[in-house]
Amino acid sequence: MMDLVFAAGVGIVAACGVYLLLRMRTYTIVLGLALLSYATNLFLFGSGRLSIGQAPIFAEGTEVYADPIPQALVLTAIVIGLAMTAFVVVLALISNKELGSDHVDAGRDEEGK
Amino acid sequence: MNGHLPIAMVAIPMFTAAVGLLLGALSKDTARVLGQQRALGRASLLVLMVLAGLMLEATAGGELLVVRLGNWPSPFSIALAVDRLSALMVALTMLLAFFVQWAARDGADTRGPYFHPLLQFQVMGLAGAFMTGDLFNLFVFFEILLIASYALLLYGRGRARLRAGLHYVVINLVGSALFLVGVGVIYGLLGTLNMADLAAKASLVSAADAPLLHAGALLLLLVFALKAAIVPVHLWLPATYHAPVGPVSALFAIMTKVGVYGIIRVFVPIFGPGQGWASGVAEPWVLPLGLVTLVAGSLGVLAATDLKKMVTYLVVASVGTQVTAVGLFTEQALAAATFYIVHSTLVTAGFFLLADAITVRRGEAGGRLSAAPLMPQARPLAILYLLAAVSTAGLPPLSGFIGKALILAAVPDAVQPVVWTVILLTSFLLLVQLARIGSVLFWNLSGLRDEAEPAAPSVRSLAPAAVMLAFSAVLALFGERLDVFSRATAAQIYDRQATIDRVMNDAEPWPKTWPERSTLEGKDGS
Repeated sequence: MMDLVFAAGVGIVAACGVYLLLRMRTYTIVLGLALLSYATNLFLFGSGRLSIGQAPIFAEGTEVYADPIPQALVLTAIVIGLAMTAFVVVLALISNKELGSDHVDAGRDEEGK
Repeated sequence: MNGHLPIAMVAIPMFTAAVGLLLGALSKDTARVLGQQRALGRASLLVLMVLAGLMLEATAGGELLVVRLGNWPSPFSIALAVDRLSALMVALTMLLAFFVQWAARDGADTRGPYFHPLLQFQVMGLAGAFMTGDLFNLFVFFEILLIASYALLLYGRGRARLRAGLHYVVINLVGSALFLVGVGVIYGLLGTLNMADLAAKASLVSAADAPLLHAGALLLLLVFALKAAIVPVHLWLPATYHAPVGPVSALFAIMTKVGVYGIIRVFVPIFGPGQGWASGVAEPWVLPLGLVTLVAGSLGVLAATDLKKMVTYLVVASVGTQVTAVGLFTEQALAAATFYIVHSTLVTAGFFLLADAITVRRGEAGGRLSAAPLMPQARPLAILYLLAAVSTAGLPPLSGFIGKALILAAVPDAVQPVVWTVILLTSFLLLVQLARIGSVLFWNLSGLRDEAEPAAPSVRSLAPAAVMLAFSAVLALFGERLDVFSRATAAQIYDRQATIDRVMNDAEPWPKTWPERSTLEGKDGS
């Protein structure tokens, strides 16, 4: 049951992220990217299988353990995702200021001139 | 000593960049800081070039340089594993970066405070991505080289750069998310991320798990296709490569190769032939996509009305050629692809620098294909353009011809009619357009140069472009040596077992048996 809830949660968050990503304003795109990276992180976390209350270390004779590697991967991915999101936010703000619009194709009309 | 070479390739640019940033932050004297950053950057790249040469020599005999970080046994350590292909790509990166830095010292680096540190970070990410032996580490180095490339792309600001930058950043962040999902699927099924270990374990996947593994692998293919700008995910490239200052465009000539390199690294040893249910994942896709990319790139070249725009589509066409060669999935074709990657990186970079030089000197007309006054220094520029055009179109006697001939010779009989037709026809299209643009730029003259215009940069500023393009002739003269090396490279990539043995050999068999992973059901049952 928990598997199903987890999988559905990841799917719904990812779907919301993709929907927001396909909007044409930078603000919704940033939100969409954030949601997409949450979904990705949850997915990565799930790739180590879901378990509760297990030690992340195994020794001879251990039957069940919580795989620590996906957790390390998720930690790295969160750090990188945070930095990238910060970068996109700043970039979106600068382009809003300099192009005078938060549309993703702002200022495109003048390209041909 | 040789054992530490790979880590130096990452550490040296990182520290140089950090010192460069500090110099900029601590001093208000921008001119002095720029001078220091330039000298520091050049020294760093010179050292890196020498070390990359040493690394190339150390791996030429077939030896693998393996660095296990923290000295944990494989597969627990995150390893750098440098074989011939890695060493070749790193050497190419350093060579390119050195000339880009040389070209940038001519004034492109004065538009903002941190060009040189950014270049070093870019080099660090590229070198790491080419050397890593771990799939997740590849993701990390991708992010390093991407964030440096975002900043370099936006370097100098301006509206076109901002718009192109926003698109480029967003599309690459989506790519990173897909990469992580692909890595997660593969880890979930195979329980390892070390590439050599993956190559060893992929064949053990069961028929029931195979579709999921294929899905993960194809997600990686999509991400690499995005990086390499393969159709249908190539549309970001023309705007992105058109926008930045000239030297940055030239440096980006190696960025698409990261994607091609990823395809080679993942889809030959891990998902290649002889891997049971894991093999044959990419074969139905790569060759057709390569051919379509080649055609789309050539049509883009044909439609371009601007010199730099044309060169950006030349990048797409050259990616198409490389991916076609890789997509044949034979050892001989991979060797030809390796040769072509070296050729196209150097020549494309030189072409970008040349396009920038021509655009600057044409004054108001810029790179547009319209009549304009005779540009200053037209003669050396025209000679360089001829060199670049001959080499890119693939005419003898330069390296483009050898590269394409090697690829044509490597095509298996079954697909020969299609591949030969596409490659030869697109080469002809490129030739037509290169000739047309060359004749407009240099022969379609009107009026006199406006005296009020600023004087053109000196002839000496053409030197980096000239040297890069001259490499084409060097590659043609010493083509046999590179050909021998690229054959050995391809043989090494296809010799999966040797790599696995070398990377995994002193991995202690500890623990002897892997415990069952905990599952939710197991927990509930207990």
